[in-house]
Formats: sequence, C-alpha cells, structure tokens
Amino acid sequence: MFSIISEHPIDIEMLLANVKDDSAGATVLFLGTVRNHNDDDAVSAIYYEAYIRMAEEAMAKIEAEVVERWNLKKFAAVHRIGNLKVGEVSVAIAASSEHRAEAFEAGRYAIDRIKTEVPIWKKEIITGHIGGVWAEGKPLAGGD
Amino acid sequence: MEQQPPQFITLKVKSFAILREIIGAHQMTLQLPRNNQGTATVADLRTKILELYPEISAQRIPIGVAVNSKMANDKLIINDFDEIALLPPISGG
Repeated sequence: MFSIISEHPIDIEMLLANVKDDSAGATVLFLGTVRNHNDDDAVSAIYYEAYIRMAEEAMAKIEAEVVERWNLKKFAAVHRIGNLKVGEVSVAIAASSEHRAEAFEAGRYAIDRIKTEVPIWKKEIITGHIGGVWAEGKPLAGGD
Repeated sequence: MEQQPPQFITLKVKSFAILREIIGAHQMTLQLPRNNQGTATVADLRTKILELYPEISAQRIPIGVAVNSKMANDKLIINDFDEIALLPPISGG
C-alpha cells in the first residue's frame, strides 16, 4: 500500500517513483494546496489533524478500490498533517495506467473519496480570527 | 473511600479537532456505567459525553463515533479498553 498520512513535506518525486511502471503510458498527479483565501476571509495557514490509524485504513481501502476499478498499474496518495503555509501541498495523489483516461478518472475519484471518507480536519488561520476557525465539514458515513 | 465498582466499563476515548478542543485532551480514560442489560452501548457513551461536555450540544456539533477505528452505530455494544474515537464532521483535502 502506498497511501499514507505524513507530518513531513510531501516528496513529489518519491510519490511519482512509487507509481512508476514500465507498462504504464500515463501518469496523473494531483496536488491539493493551501489557498490564501476562503470566500472573503484571508487565510495565512491551515492546521491539519488526522485520526491516523483510521485515516490510513480508509486510504488503503480507497487505493485498493481505484486500482481494481480502473485497472491501474499503481496508485499512491499522501495527506499531510500539521501546520501548512499558503502554497504548501496538503494532499498529493498519483495514478499510473496503460492509457490516460483511466489515470485521470481514478485520480479525480480518489480525491473526492478522500475528502468524504478519511478522518482529517482542517483549521484555517484567518486574519482577524484569534485561534483560527475549524472548517465546516461533512459527517462521516457508516456504522448503520 | 468509595470503591470502584465493576458495574463500570473503562474506555480509552480519543477526540479530534473541535471536539478535542472542547474536551481539552486528545485522549482520556472514561468510566461508563453498565445499563439495565449489563452492557454499555455507543448510545450510552454519547449520552455521557454530552452530559460531561454540554458545549458540544450548545455548538450543535454532530459526533461520529468510531470503535476500534470502525464507524459504529448507537446500538453497538462496547467493551473494556475498546479504542473509542469521537469524530466531528471531516474536512480534509
């Protein structure tokens, strides 16, 4: 499995090395980065927190599903936690496949799944709000 | 000294993000009384947490409960030393 949570800056070269495959004709890389605003608020940094055990289990499940569904050669994802400044990479996803369509679709699908199923939270550090503001999120499904 | 009666179960409870801030610790040990059936469920835990930390209801924060890293429904029976996690709505990416 190549999907993990990390407190260190994401090494994009290493991520790409993890999906390298001589039978792949396409590799797609997605990077999520810290944006300097949210609606009208000026954001200077974001603090990310995860329930690491459950987050890595959820990411492993997503990895296995996308590899199977799009017949990927390889898939890797890293979500960073801790304090990130504007412009830093918070999440990175790489997918390799024989042809480009599969890698594009798998990458798009995987980031959507990560945002709805992986227990990670972000607090935006916003000018004028002491202590920051937890982003409004979506309740995790399951258990019913 | 009041003795610690066996009608309680002992749980490790982790909390995250805004729930961690309200509770004031990333992890706590909680004793939960057994109900009439002699067990304790996720619903019993939920009631206890909301009683201990009224700020959670005041701020209307939905709580997801994971037991041993799996999302759990209110009927699930929990046991001594299960790893419980209190999860507010998620916002990764």
